[in-house]
Amino acid sequence: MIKAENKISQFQLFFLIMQTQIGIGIIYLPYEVNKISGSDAWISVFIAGMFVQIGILIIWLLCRRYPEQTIFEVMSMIVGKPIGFLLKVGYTSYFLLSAILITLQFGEKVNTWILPRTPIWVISFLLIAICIFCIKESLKVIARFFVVVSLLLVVLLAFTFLILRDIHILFVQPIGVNGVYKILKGASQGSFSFQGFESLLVILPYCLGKGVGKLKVALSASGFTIIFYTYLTFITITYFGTEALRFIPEPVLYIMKFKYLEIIDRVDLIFFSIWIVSVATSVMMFLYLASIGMTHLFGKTKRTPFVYCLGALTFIAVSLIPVNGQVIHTLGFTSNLYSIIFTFILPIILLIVSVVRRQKVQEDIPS
Amino acid sequence: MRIDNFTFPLTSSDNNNITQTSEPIGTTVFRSIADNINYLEDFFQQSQDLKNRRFVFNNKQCITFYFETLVDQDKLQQNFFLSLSDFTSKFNEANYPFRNLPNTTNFDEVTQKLLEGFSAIYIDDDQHVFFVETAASFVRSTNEPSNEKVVRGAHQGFVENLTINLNLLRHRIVDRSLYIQYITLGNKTNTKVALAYMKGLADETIVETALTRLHNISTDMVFSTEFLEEYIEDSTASPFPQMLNTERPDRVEANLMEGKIAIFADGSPTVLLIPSTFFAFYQSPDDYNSRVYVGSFIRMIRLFSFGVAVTLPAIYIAVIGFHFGVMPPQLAITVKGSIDNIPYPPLVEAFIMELTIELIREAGIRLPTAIGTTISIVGGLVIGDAIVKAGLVSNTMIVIVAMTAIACYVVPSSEMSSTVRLLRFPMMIAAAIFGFVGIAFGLMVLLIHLCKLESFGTPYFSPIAPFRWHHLKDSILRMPIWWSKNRNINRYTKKMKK
Amino acid sequence: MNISRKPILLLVCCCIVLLTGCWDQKLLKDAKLVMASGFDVTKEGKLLGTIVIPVFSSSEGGAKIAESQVLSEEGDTTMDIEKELNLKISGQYDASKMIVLLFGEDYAKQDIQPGLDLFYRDPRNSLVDNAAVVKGRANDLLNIKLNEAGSMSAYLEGLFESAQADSVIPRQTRPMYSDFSDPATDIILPLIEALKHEAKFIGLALFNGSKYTGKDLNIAESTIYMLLANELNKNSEIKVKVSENEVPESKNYIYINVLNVKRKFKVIGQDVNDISSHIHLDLKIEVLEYPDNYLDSAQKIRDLEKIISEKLTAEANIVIKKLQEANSDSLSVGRRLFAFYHTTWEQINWSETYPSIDFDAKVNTKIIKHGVFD
Repeated sequence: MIKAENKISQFQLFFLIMQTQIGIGIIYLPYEVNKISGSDAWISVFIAGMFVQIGILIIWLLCRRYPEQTIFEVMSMIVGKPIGFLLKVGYTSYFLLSAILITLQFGEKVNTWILPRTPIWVISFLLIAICIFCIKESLKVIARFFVVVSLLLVVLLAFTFLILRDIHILFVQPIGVNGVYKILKGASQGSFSFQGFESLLVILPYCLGKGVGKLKVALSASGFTIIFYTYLTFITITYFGTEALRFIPEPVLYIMKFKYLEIIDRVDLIFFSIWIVSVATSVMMFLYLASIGMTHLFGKTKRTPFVYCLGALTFIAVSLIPVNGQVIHTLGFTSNLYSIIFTFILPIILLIVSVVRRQKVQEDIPS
Repeated sequence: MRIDNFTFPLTSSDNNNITQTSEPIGTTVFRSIADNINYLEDFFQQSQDLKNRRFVFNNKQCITFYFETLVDQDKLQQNFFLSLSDFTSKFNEANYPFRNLPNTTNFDEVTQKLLEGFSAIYIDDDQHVFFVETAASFVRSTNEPSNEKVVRGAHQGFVENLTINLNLLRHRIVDRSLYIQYITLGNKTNTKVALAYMKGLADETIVETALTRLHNISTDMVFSTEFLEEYIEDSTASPFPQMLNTERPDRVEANLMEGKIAIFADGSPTVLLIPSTFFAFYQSPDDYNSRVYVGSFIRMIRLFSFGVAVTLPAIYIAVIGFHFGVMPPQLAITVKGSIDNIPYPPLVEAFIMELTIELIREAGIRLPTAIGTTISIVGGLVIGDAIVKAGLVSNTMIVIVAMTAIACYVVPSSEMSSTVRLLRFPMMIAAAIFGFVGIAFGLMVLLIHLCKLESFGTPYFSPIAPFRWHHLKDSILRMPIWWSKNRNINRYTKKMKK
Repeated sequence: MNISRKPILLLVCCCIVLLTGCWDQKLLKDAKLVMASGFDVTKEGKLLGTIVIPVFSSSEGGAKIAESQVLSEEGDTTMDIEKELNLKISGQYDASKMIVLLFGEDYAKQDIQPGLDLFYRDPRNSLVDNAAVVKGRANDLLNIKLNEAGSMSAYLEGLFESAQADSVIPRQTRPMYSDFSDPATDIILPLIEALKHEAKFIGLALFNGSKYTGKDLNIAESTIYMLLANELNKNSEIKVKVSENEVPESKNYIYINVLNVKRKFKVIGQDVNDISSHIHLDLKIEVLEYPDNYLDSAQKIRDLEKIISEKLTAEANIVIKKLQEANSDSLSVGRRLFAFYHTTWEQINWSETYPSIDFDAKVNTKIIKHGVFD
């Protein structure tokens, strides 16, 4: 049972999900998807978002049956202790892997864009340290922080408005020229940028309110991310054109680099600094989820030691893995595979098993 | 004299709440005057300002004890001896002069009262000791505090006397729900501390917490409320002040009406207000005394000043040390022109200037006004000009540091102002190592800290974190007073119609 | 936070501060800001780079740019030149504040893309938004002894800004690179010429891909081109000859300013062999100067509008012809064909087809203001 004073409001849930989803993808998603689906990348991103909405629905259906338990408690109830244990290990390592991957990518981007000579491990150390500093607190504090930094997204959006008058809609026409296959393939690539909604598996029971209300909040949070990412992809394609975009791995930053305001010349540096916060929130959430998983795994009540432990693990992993495009690509591929299993397939299986076994925990507290 | 079973109250810590203990502890008063004299003089270790005065009344030997340093001799004469002389002629049982005087048979209470400035009267062969209020109090007038000046509004301030302070408050809130609770703190100083709040408005759990924390204080002295603050605040490691302190009765009044709790201490004009949020430090009574637009504008300026004070030097360091691409070409040339001949890196340059400003400030505070002005002129103009001409610090750095310094002093609370001054140093270091990335991380640490800080169970950064839309209008903006129908500090105070 | 943990934390912080140093610190005072540069090709086929570094004298009232330091060096690539130049200057070569980039005529005719690679690859470098082709050599232009005080780069930047405001040259809205990589669009760059003590824009240089075709538009045509491209900036002043044989000569002309442009750009291409394109411009104009007559009657204004429309239509068609002759599709006809007739696009080779398509323009004007005098 989660104490009422430790619960978060639905308003906070919205920002938790949104901030977890929006992160590293801001600067490279358009490039990744454009490589596959060309000028229709923005459609791919949108479709990917729709997949994610379905994923959220599945997770919600699963969690609705156990309104007061996190996935880590639920799993052993549904499939029994031994398999449940394996799944716990799986989920924990999946969350940890996601955090590691984001940290790696973050280190690489910082290294290429602003601090080329600062060792990457220092950058990752900073990121991990700040994550530990935040997530050793309760979810309530994390939620507060996420809500506050969401104001920065408004700033990011405002920066992108700068280029609206220089986009050429013609670049995305004719719509659908790349064919359904490429669009769907792009969508599957794009869906990984929406990673983070699976945090619902753990944080949904922490949220106050009725089941349907939570679903609405989760869907709209993810909906915001979908719109934001689709918008970003759309403007980058219409600004550069799909041909040029193929060679620009961080198109949003590139645009910002070209644009200037009256008082700020290199907007990309400001944009980047704000983006750091978005990335940090994603890493925080994944590490937090992993720390909850660890706590359950070892059957302890105190989470703080695991937070430090996970932080150290992430740091070691990040410093040992050589940072280059190839490694990140391979890791990304693995993570994507995991992501499909843990965010779509497993929840579906768990849901089916749970339905078949007719397990259901009644919502005993009307809220 | 039974000196062997005489416990020395000053060393036992559980005797410090004598006024509150109903059960008399300790020695009872002796019947003979001589014993009493001996006991008291021993108790106060022959302190030479403990005086006694013998007289005969109703054919009995009487004696009064008092501290001549605490007692107003005139008062003693007027209140006691003069009226006593009236009685000597027409004395009878009905108007026995001591009958209405407070009395006790307990020595602990006697010594306590003596220390509070009462005169104690013994009558031979009577176990009762009577008290006459003769305390001399030397108080300054309730002038406006110099560190919290307002343009419009009441020009009244608290003084060092607790009674007068509470009197000022009672005059402002004429309501039975204003509740005042006394606690005595400090094993040696026995300082009277008062807790004032509006019953029904203040959250009882916060009152409870505050009381528990106050009772748990184990210290020999309480010399000011700020001293108390450190004992009862949530996080001493935090750079942020978690209790608003003020010397203005109107501010206390307004805060009490919002459901906060005020802590007064005798001997200190400063009042602590709990629980406080970050934004409370950025509010001034002036805001409510001026027009809505002006009030809102000024508040936003203050919050902006927070940002400037914490980040401006850091941004400057990051820009000229890492990302000068951010500057437009014209600006880049101007800045480059001014820093070209500076021999050391921007961080050192900034530290030199920041420290100079701090020195000037610190020097200016302690000096008499006349010299203080000279110092600020010497510091501000002469050093500023000479340091640039000497090529030690660049022009632009002077501009940045000066702006930062001004921004620091915009904050209405001097405590918050010092905090802000401190915060920018780690920021500058972070900026000098990592540029903008450092600033971003620094600000994140700051934000996370603000998000998790709580003041007596109330989120410190409310209403931003947790975000409360309706409360924004009275914390970041200053909307018309009648707009806010509910009292708004946080969800922890009871919601009531104003 | 635990008090006992604080000293350790402090220690860690100190260690980080002291041990790490500042890896990426690049102090502004150590940098030599290269604010303009030019590329030429030498007789031997080598690259000749010329850079302008503003030199300032710091005085009481702040820094003042006294003059500029102009340096040039030969090399094989841009980086080669940068490296050589870095050996010549006191301080670090820094191109992050580069505001003007000039290409010599001969260099531009070769290909301008290779020289730009450095600007696009290095995250510190600026993405130069003012680029122009020099009639002659960029080196000569950058070496002009200016009559006015200030650095060459500031002068050139001012030149660009005012010409852009007058809608004579296009404002760059995106890196040139994206135009190079787009097969359906060509870029167009301003053409600048060195005079004795100043530089002057003389029109627009037409590009095919990233190569200068050697064909230009003059200033009058540039203005029309800017209208065709729908890139009206603050104002666009056009001289139109509305009558013949008036004496004195100045009575033959009218000066108009375009206040508003409405462009209809149509491309028709169902048939591979019959691709046509048509631009229709609706201009709202203001009469700036009309020495000949009074504009007191509505009829007169209508007549004038008609003549101006005809003249402008003729000029617009000349501009289009020139663009087609140069095989420079800077108006992005190809992009439209790509977008609306994609099947056609896929069957043709656009750079071969473009010169021969049926492409014309029609201009309609409406006088809505004529100053405070009829």
